[in-house]
Amino acid sequence: MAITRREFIKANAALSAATVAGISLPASATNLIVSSDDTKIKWQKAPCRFCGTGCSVLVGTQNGRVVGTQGDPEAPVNKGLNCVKGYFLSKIMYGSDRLQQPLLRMTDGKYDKHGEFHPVSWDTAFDVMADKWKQALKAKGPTSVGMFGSGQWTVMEGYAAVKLMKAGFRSNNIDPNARHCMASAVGGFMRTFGIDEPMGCYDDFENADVFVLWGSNMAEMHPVLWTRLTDRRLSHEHVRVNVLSTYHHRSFELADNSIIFTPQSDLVMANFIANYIIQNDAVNWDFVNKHTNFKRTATDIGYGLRDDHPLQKAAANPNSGAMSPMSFDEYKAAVAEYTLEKTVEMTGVPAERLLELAKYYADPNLKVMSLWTMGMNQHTRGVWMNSLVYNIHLLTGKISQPGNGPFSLTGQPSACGTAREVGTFSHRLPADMMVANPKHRQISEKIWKLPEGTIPPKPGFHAVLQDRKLKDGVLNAYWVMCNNNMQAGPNINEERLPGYRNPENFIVCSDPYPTVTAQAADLILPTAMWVEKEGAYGNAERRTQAWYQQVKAPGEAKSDLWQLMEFSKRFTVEEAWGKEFVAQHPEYTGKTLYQVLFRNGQVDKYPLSEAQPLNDDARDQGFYVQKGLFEEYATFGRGHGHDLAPYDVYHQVRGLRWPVVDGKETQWRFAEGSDPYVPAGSGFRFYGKKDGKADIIFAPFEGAPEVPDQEYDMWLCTGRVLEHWHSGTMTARVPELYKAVPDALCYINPADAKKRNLRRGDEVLLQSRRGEVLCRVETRGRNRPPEGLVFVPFFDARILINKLTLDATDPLSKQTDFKKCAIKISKA
Amino acid sequence: MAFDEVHISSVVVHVKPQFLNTVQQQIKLLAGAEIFASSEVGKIVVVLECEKQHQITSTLEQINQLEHVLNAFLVFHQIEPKSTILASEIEG
Amino acid sequence: MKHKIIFTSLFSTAILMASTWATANDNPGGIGGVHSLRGDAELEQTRPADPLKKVSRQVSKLDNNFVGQPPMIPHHIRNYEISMNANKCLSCHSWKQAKESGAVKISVTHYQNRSDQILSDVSPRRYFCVQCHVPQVDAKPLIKNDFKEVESLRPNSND
Repeated sequence: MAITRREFIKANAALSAATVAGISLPASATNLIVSSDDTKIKWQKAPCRFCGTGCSVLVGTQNGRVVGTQGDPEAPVNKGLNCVKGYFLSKIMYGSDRLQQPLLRMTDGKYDKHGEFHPVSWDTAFDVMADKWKQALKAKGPTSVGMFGSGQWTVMEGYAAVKLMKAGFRSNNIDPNARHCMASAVGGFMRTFGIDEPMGCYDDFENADVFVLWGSNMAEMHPVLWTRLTDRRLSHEHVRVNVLSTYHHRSFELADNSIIFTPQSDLVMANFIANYIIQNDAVNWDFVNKHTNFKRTATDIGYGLRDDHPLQKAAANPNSGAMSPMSFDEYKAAVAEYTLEKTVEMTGVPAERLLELAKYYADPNLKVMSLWTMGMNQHTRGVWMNSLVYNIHLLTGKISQPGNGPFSLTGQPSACGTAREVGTFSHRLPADMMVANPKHRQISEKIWKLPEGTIPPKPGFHAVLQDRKLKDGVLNAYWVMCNNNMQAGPNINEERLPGYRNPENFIVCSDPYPTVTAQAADLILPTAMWVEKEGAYGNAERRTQAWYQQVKAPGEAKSDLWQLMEFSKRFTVEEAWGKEFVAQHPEYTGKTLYQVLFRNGQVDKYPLSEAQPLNDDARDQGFYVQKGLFEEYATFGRGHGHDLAPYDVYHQVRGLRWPVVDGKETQWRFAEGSDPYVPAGSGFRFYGKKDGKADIIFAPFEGAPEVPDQEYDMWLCTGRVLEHWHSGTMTARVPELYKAVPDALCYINPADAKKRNLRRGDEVLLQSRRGEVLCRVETRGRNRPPEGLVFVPFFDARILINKLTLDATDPLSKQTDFKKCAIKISKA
Repeated sequence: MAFDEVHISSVVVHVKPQFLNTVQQQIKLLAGAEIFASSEVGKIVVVLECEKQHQITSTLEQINQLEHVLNAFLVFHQIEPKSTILASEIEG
Repeated sequence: MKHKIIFTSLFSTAILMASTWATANDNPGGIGGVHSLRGDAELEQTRPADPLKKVSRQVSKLDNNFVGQPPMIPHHIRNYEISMNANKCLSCHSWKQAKESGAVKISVTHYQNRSDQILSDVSPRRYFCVQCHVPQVDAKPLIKNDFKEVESLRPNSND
């Protein structure tokens, strides 16, 4: 007898409630309501695959397939809600073009860069790949191999990757796509506080009186956090929302104070607010005296372009992050030039709106939460800008208290957990440590049980530098994993595509789907995704969340973790480290990288029997690999302000916010009573700095590297949309999401459209000095730019808007400014 | 219009564990409420079937008002056209 | 249909040749026969923009693929205001208005706040409807999706 639709829906209603309640339905009940085992759905938790919010979802599986997802009502982050992307998670794995076999460019059965892609076995794929790595290592050494990873890697994958690259290949050329996303935020945290990631947490949303969005369209990019902010605003009459952006977007729908500013002039606004606070005697002297130092940063630092670029040559202190102490009076004098008049003139914002904003910060009785994402991070002065906002919070003491604090939101699901905490950057090691610091290398080598001197001291190539080094033929063996950088990175035409095409280079792309990156690669590796593997993510509020594998990957697709570990089996230490180095450490003679990195008595400490029955990665290695990697990684941070709970705990709870000390998570870091690292009686302690004080860092306004002129007369700002995740690899394959937003459009002011004789829907040619794309204009859509600026999202592989963007970066964080370059527009 | 619909929803009820049975008895008396599971720690899974949406909230409110109930919240709600439900029942 | 394909490919070639940034030498293996969301257009090509699509009215509001899927919006929402002052969606879909308008009533889950309390009006956290509910254009998906509903939810599964 077939189960009726009514019974089925009731059974599911009961099952999802039982899952939430953490109880199992009695056999009698399930038998009664479900006619056979075939119709049973198993519900398990997993964090959402998309943004840095870190919503928890319940994933329903049946007969080895995901059949539904729903918001997890027990999760403190989202309390049962998802955004439209989250509700359609169940479909992201089922695009009909999932890659199921390795594909290699071949002619006549042999690798040929000019060849077409043909299916090969994993063995052949790794043979060819290892051969290319060995050739590169032999010819040019460790700096000729590299990897571009991801803030969408699981914690364990990122950890295995950083270990394989930095200790295995002794190359620091590993960087995550989080470089495009969070690097300036990291720079700001490290400079101001000496330790990465937000001090506050999402509970701030329910406690703040005033919200300030400094370049963040949360309504689209962090939809579930936006529900919390909306809830607060609409339920409490006194709450005020300030939205700052270079164009009008959906977050303005909730704005009490709307501020559209001239690109780059946020630097002016932040300094104006600091000046206003000082001029109006609103400095919290008790806090400032006890907990802060004043510093000024080196200026005229260039734009992170190639060294021979005229703008780099013209800079007095290119790439300098030098800071020198200053007194409060000197600081006061430095910000004094940012008067209201000057700020109005430079930002184009009416005086009353600037004053309203400044007053909220200055009022000691209002709790202010500042929020930002890419508007501030993708900025050639992003590190400065992050610190300028911290300055305001430090001057007023509005920090590390419920509802009071600066909050840098992350873009990716594990930009914090994997990219930042694990340290998959070219200059980093786990737990905020740096490769350039001999002590930090020593600590890492000790934990990894590796000889001293294994980790190279010189930072490797960061994201944009990797493109340049590929093009120049310096970086030759390159693995792109868990990202679609050909589409998402800047300046496709001039730097990255020529780099991939360079005949000296061998490019590997691991992805679940054929992306444009895969199309430009030489070897494509089919990859397991999300709940096809066990993993853990860390969200923007320091919450670590784990999930179990729930279904098997299709065909021969394998997780990134499996790929990294299997690849490591193909190298002896002699091949990877060089004979000379091994000669000094004869106990390693003849061992493989796999043996020294992953069979070290730590990673392989936990037996297979501890893992779930469905855990392909563990089964393939013969031990509980995710737990072993997590626990070894966790030793870096325990006792050092980055404490994680025992791994198994994360499978029982809806995440915990680190530092987790004695089983207790931390909501507000640096605050006595909340953060176990703050000694009693100190009130606050910014323990990332030796003296426990945060730095108030003065930085002036400096202009953007490329501004509109007579020929290229418009600003181009790029970004995301609610319905698609980044480059659309997953979401554009979900019919409902594709049909919601099928094409990237060029959002343009009606006056600018009229000047060019354009009507809504017309095809236009967008051209920068670096490339051109064709797309259609929208004059009345969700984004309404001021005259002189257009917005184009980057999710559309058919358009590839990053052919136009400039690879100028913040010289300190090396993060690209995707928000500002000059283009011209004409009717196609 | 309204009579074309069937609303199926589920509720998790937290009760003081010692009163688990008492509360279950009371819930069973509510129209459209079925208990699918319960746990000694004081949790009950209730499925509601109603014809009108407001009946869900009123039933939920009734549950919340019961003595010994700590909290009751909705987990799931689906609106079905009555025709689909009936059709599948006839043929199923 | 065939004519259209030929026309498109000729047009693409013309664009490709006109492009400043593409020469045969820079592009040894091209896309190597692998199709992406871009189809088979070479990465160097300046691909013509696809036509603007129209919002479909054919979306069945109850055509759910799985439990908990937010219903799609079966009409266009151009110029709908959802702001602090007004919410055009609620003007038809709220419980009060739905009787008159005949529109689908919003789900009762929307009356529950973060602390699981039932409210007399839509929970403020659910205020911005388009965070979950989206209109659908009349277009064929770029890539077929092989997601399968559970048996009992498949349309006509009981027929």
